[in-house]
Amino acid sequence: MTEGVMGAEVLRPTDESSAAVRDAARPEVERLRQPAAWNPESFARQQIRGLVRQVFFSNAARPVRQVVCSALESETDMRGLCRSVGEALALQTPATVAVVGGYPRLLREADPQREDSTDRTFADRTFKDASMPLRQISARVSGNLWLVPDGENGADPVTASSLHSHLGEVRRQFEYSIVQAPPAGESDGAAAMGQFADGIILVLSAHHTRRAAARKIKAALESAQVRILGVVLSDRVFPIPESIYRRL
Amino acid sequence: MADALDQRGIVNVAIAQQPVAPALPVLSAWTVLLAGFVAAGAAGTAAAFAADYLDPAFRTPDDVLAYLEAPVLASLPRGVQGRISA
Repeated sequence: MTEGVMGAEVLRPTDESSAAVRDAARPEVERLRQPAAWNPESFARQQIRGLVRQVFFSNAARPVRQVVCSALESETDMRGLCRSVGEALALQTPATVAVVGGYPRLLREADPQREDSTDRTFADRTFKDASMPLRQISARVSGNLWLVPDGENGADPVTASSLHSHLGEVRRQFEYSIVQAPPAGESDGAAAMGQFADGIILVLSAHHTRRAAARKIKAALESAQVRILGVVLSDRVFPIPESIYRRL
Repeated sequence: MADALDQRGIVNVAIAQQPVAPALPVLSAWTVLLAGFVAAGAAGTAAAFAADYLDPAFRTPDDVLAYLEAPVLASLPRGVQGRISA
């Protein structure tokens, strides 16, 4: 008898021990057989990870490093969406990721100890000293994820060149960036940003965004030579109860 | 004589048998119930299609794909955006 066969004989479980192993594993097997309860948060996380893979890690001819996200409705929570995309991206790459926009709330959120008065000083310093490196006025929330204030200055009007200058600075200092733009239906800011960035993601609100309005805005962006990477459909409702949906 | 009655406008009719209500309806209650269900189902389905056709908003990723011809990167349930963290 060879050693291997002997080894196999030694490892072969007896009937009693195999039954015990089966009994111990049964709850786990039953759990795996049952369809998992649908969880909106985990579903959303899965969707965001899919978005990151499709946008940033696809084998497109033009790699995407800087993305503008713009909603069609002002009520859409773009800050949360951009932050989620940034977090998912930061987990999938060691490169630096910047989430741009939502200032000054982003900075306050990143450092809850900071008082409002300090925040104001921080903001003033941000806007007055344009030569200051972005990382000094940004908040680092994890190893490679940064929250960067947008380029708007309360005093000066926002122009396409100032937006481009700010996005260029972000691009120089961070390898990936997700930029929160104003609603595409309300101003030209999203188009101006989209022209400079690698593309734009439109965020539609289910049951709210009108088809005709979305089509019109998409045509306007395309005529402005903005690359539309895709669409996110947010605020979806699933009217079929979970117990019925699982049986379908 | 009949012609003479007609000329004077006198009704020239005689009741052969008194009318009576039928003991059973032409259609049974089950038939009427079934027809009601079928009609209600058809009307409901038509109303659903009409509402779907007339609704100007997006509801599903398929809607987006059909009307915008743009890829849908993600679809997010209502109320989770502030609670998603990777």
